[in-house]
Amino acid sequence: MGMLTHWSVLTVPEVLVLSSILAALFGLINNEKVKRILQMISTTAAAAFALYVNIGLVAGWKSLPKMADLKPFTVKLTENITLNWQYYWITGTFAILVMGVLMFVLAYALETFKDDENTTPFYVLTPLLAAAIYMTLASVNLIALFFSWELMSFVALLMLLYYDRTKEGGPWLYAFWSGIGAMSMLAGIFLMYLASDGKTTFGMFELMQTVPIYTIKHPYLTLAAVLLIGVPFMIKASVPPFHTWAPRTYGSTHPSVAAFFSAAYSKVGIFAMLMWLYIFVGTVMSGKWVTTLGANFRSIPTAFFILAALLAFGSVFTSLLAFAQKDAMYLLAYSSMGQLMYMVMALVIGIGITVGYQKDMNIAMTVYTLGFFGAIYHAYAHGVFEMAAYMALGAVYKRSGGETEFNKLGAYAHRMPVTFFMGFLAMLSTVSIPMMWGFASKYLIYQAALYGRFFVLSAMALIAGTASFLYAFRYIHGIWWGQPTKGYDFMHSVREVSAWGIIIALVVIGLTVLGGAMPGQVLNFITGNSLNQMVMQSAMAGGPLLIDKAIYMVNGFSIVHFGYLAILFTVGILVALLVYTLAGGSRKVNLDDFYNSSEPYRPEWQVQLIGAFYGPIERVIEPYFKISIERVYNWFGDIFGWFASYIESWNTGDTRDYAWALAGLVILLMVLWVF
Amino acid sequence: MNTATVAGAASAGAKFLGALVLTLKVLVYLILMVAIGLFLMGIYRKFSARVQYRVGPPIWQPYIDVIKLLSKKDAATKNWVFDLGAVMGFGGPLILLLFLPLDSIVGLNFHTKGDLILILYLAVVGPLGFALAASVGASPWGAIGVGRALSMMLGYELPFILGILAVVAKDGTIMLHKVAAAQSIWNPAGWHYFQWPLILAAIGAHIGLQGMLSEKPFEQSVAPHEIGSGIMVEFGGRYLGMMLLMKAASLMAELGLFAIFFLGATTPLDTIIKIFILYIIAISFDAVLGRFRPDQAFVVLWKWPTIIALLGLLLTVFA
Repeated sequence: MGMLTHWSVLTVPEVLVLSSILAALFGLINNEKVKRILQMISTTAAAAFALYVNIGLVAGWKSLPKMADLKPFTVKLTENITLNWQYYWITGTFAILVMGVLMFVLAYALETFKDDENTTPFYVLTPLLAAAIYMTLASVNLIALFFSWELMSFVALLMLLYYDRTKEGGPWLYAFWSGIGAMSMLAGIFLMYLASDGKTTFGMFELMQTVPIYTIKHPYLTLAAVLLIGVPFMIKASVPPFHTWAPRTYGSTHPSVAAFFSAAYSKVGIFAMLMWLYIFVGTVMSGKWVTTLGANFRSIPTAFFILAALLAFGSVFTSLLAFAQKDAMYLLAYSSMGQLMYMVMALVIGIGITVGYQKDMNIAMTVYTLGFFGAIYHAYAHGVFEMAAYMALGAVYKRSGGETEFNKLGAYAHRMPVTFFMGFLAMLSTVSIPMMWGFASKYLIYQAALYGRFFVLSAMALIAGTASFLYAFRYIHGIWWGQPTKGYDFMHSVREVSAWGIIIALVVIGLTVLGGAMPGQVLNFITGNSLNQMVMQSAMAGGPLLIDKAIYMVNGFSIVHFGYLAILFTVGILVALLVYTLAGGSRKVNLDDFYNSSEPYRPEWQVQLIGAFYGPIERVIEPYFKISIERVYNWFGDIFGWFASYIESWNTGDTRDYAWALAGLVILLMVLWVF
Repeated sequence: MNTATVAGAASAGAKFLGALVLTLKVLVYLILMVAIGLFLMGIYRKFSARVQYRVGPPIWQPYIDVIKLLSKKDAATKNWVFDLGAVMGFGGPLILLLFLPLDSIVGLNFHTKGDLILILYLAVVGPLGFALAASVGASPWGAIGVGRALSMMLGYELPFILGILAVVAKDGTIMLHKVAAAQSIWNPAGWHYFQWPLILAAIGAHIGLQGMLSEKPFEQSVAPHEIGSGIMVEFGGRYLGMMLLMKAASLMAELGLFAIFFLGATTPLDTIIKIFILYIIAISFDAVLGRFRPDQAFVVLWKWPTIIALLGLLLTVFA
């Protein structure tokens, strides 16, 4: 008897949800050390369990039941509809990421919260949010997904409300968009019920197969249903034009909360988009009314191309916005949005092309594999580097007394070298420097776009990548280097994070390099060997794709040998180091001189530097940023506001008038009903 | 000793010898490339001096400068991140050179292990290293200089990438040696530069290349006034020496990349000749043109060369 079958009273989703709830309960313990150790054990155990199940299931380990025999957690709603939470490898892949991020963020939280901030809600609500995320990831029924999604959104709102740092209305913006998403999904579910003539069971996998049939019968109704269902997913994944909530929400909260939101919570959007795109494909596959762009674009369906173009454009736009930010939290928020857009773009291209490009399935499958696994791998890379960037910022946030604006930061690297190095490597990964995880993941996305012959989209993605250098440098310079803004005495009082924090930072640094040095190995590991299986199938069918332990190759088109890259990278750096070492020495400067480059301390220089860092080009691009979808939303908001004011103007202050009006309305409805 | 032990020792010896030869080849290749790059910089100084009716320094002046700067004791050291920045700054272009087909000059073939995307991202390791060092220096001027340099990078990357991708669209590959092989070596009619509609992409990318080389009218980040008020303000002694070496290595890599994509640079010899030609063109423009302000340069780069390169790309895709 296998290990899982011994405790078969619990399904895999239940184990993950319960372990998170357990971690939340541990969060109520007052003793910091005990709390931290117990939370660490529960979250690590859950992450290890998810990893074990994910690898073991696909590999067919004897200690585990077969995938098909895994019990779902079920709740019977009606005769036809049963709510299911089931574990699949893709669920596991995202669950490992979420649990891993939870583990690091909780463990590092003490380094980021100021002494006067209450940490208990964070320690309790974050694992609860993780539990709700698992429920969402494991939902294989649309109605189960709806309940899980709303639970997740609600817990997230509680966190945002409690840790509303700047009081700029970020949580309420999030609540508003979550509400729009909830209503949209509900309306979509209702329309889908109508489109299926009441026959659907709302199973996600069932919908993927039946939506083409529904589309043939009720094309517009089905399309409306599918689009409405997709709205909350697009909101969460920051897909334009539903992205406007993200900067203020991420930017206005606490760095540790933002770390979890950006690194883990946002990935639910990516997961949901992945599932939704397969349903959306159904409406396209029916061939009822959706066109393709022809052979020059590998016959990708037009709708998919438009979505991909929106995302590519969005990634450029958000990256440009990111480097113009004056606040590190907002900078990272825009950066995060841009990276999420990359992931969804990869999925859209990958999934879209399989529908359109029937001429050469090898090409279609290669682009699909690159896009699909590129998105997943970038979700991981982004999870690690964004978490690291926020955590490093959080450590500075605590030591600076709650500052996140660049003109109030600077020079912290002198006092916090390990934390700086974590933030620095996070940025190297963000800008995709080879040997970093961010390069290994983004490379797959570029491959998908280029091999799919989407050259303009590729160019936009590459330019978004270039823009990321600008914001990465602002993060590095604005927080860690430059001149101190709080005087020398204050800087001398700043201390590096604790030994515990240093260990976590070193592990995160190790992960960032590991994911970039052995990408094939890591990607295969986290996806439970699914990558290998897909690549092998492709190779057996004569496909050109090879993703091995340390090689990415599309035969005749592209190659990166990560083994050679590691060696040659080391050789290049060693040669430079040799020249540098053999060259003349230099005299050591004391820290106070170094802070200001031996010049007198002048605060106005800080303003000049950080306020107008990219001033010349900011002035050039500024007029184009006046074109904002948020203005359109605000305009609609103003119309509603005006309408509400107009209604309000009818107020006579006498409740009897309302009673008469209500009676009149009832009579009118009755008359209409009769005739 | 038995036969197996002797054979094992011989095999280990052969492996060691092989590794030694490989290391020597790598060193010779890198030294050669940097030396040619410094020679190009010498030509630039002589050329621009003659245009301005000056005698100018001897053509080997950059070699003397580098040796002098590297042997000088710097007035002040910073900290380990400043050192790291300088090492990254010079190391980056060296890594880049190792992935270019020029390496076959000493019988290496590392260029078959990487492609365009890798090269594009390796190309920024060096500048990022020096940007880091300038940032660590804490002088406001250094950071302002970095801001200018990165702004320029955003400007010239767009037309350059669009131009390069037009070639990818035509040849269906991003492997450099395959792109080179798709062109003729000496017949200009067989170069992408002179083929319709790739000529549009080439012109756009060529203007971008001028920015990449930091030559006028796009030399904002290394202009003479920047010595006192820009990225170089914190660099003296060996740091400035490392920066000059980075410039030499980057010249070879950037010009080499353009020559491979547009001028059919296939063998090391013809690549080096084409690099010379490209560089003479670049410094000729540099000698006669003025310098844009950073914002003007950005607007220019994102306007005309981008439109031309985009047109070239679209016409290639739909051809």
